Amino acid sequence: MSTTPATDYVPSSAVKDETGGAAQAAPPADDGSNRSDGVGSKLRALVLRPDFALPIVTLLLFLYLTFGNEFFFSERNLLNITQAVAIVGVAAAFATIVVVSGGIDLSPVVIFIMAGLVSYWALNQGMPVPVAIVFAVGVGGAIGLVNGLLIAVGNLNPFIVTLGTNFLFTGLAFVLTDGEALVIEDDGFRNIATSDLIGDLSMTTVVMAASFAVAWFILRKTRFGIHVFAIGGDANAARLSGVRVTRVKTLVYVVAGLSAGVAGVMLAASSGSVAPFQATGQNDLLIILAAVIIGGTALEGGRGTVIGTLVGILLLGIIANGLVLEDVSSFWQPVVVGTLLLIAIILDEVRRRTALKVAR
Amino acid sequence: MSEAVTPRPPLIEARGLSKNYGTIVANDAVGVEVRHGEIVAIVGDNGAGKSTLAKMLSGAVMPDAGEIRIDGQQVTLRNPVEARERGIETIYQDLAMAPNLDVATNLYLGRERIRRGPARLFGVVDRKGMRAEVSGHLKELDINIPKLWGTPVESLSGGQRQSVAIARALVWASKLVIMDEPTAALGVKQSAAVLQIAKNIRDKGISVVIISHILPHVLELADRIVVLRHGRKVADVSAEELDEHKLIELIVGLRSPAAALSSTDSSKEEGS
Repeated sequence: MSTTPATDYVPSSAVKDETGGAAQAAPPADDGSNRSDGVGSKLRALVLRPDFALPIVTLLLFLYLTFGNEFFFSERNLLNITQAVAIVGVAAAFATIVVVSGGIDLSPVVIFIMAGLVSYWALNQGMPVPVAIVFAVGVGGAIGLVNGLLIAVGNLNPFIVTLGTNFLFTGLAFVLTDGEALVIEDDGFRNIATSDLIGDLSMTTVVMAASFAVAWFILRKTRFGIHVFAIGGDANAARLSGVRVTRVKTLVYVVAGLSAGVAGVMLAASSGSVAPFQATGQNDLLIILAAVIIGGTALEGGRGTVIGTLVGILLLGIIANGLVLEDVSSFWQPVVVGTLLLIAIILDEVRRRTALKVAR
Repeated sequence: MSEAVTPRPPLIEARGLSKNYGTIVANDAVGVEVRHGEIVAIVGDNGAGKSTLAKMLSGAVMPDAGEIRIDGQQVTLRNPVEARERGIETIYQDLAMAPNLDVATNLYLGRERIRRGPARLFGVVDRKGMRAEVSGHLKELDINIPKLWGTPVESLSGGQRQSVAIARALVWASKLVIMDEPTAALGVKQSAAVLQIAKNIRDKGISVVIISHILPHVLELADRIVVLRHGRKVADVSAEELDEHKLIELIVGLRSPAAALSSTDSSKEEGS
């Protein structure tokens, strides 16, 4: 698999005798993956592919807990898992797009808080719940726009820019609240988190599923998605090819900001309050980035899948849940997550070195 | 530099193109003309300003001064897209392809086909349609590239990648193809193939501007040769009037342009 057949290109008219001419024309029916190697290398390829290794690990853990723990495989518990990861899941789906574009976004968690604060303010002004939500999501988009403009137009490092907005808005949240938690009393708003939308599926779970569907659609089906991949692969080449790099890069952060705004509304509704110190924990940020990386998206950009991130976030949810059910101290959770992260990047590096061909 | 008035204006007529990078003068009032169906070579030593000149013609670099006319009409090429919209395609030295995307996606990068109907609203790409067309295009151009989709171009060989870049230019070019050192990274056989492609392009009535260090290639291929030295044009001669020796002397400055044009090869040290 690692060796490319040495069929160097040659126009058949030019050097017909040596290449056999048009007989080598690319077979249009071929799906392009050209798997003609033995079973062994096929197996290795499968294991190295994060889109296979990750689901396998997740499935094994799932089966282990299903058969090893009497509480795990119940509708209630499985719904608990999805509910627990729903908020970070919404942000992680779109963080995938950011990372594929070659960037990184450290601001989703502070957007959670700002969106919560704006919801609180809007509801206190007597605005109806949908309007409050629009304001909250909008402020997420606005912070994303600031990130995007600084990164794309200002050509600044995305890590530093979003670290800056992270600090800035964390501080601002403390200033605005005097460091205290604000209780949201509007029942209509709080019901967003607790109400079941479809059957027993909570609104937050459904929103997470929809977010992953939308992010997948954007990245895999649209011209915008192709351009995100191209920029992540080689921004200058993309520019020369006619990709509007500045616009696409900016939009990537706007979309991420909007999604973090949605997640922020869900967080404020489910906790019934907005607390600035939620931002300083930053644990959610690490979970978001861990899910993206464990899901096989390359931090250097140009490679990654939304579905990988979905499996990544579910795996993290199952681990947290499994540790509780198995009565293991929750202090072990970061140990497990860290180990997984390291395995993920080692696998990625091995994969890159063996020049394994993975369709984008 | 024939001043004869042709009935048809030249495809490209650039006058007084200048470009500075800080204190470095990359191009100083360079004029160049490309006629329809002509292969023009731009040669010169390292740093002579060849690539800058080509990039101003391809829209990748904006000139500080000077004007460009296409088919007699003055144009401003602010970016490569504006050049492409006028039928000018460029094969960049570093190929300018997204290494992580496959051949078909690279060929259509920046001009993806969008599905009709409601899907258009979301910019949904017509992958099937593009894939179906790509094979046809390449067959038409007589270029063989295996694995058109599903495999990122970074896993192709250097020659294959080069042919993808060439194919991309040929699929879209309607007037001019600019080739920046197209054979720099290639072996002998592959270079010969590229030269053949350049001729094929011209035979289809599309002009070619080629930048190359490899003088035998230039002499074999070009109808006209423009020599740059230190950012200035020092010669603009029909290829038939030159041989490799004279060309080298022009490039390094051992021979004055007048001497080269007079085509008397006995005099050597005329100074520059």
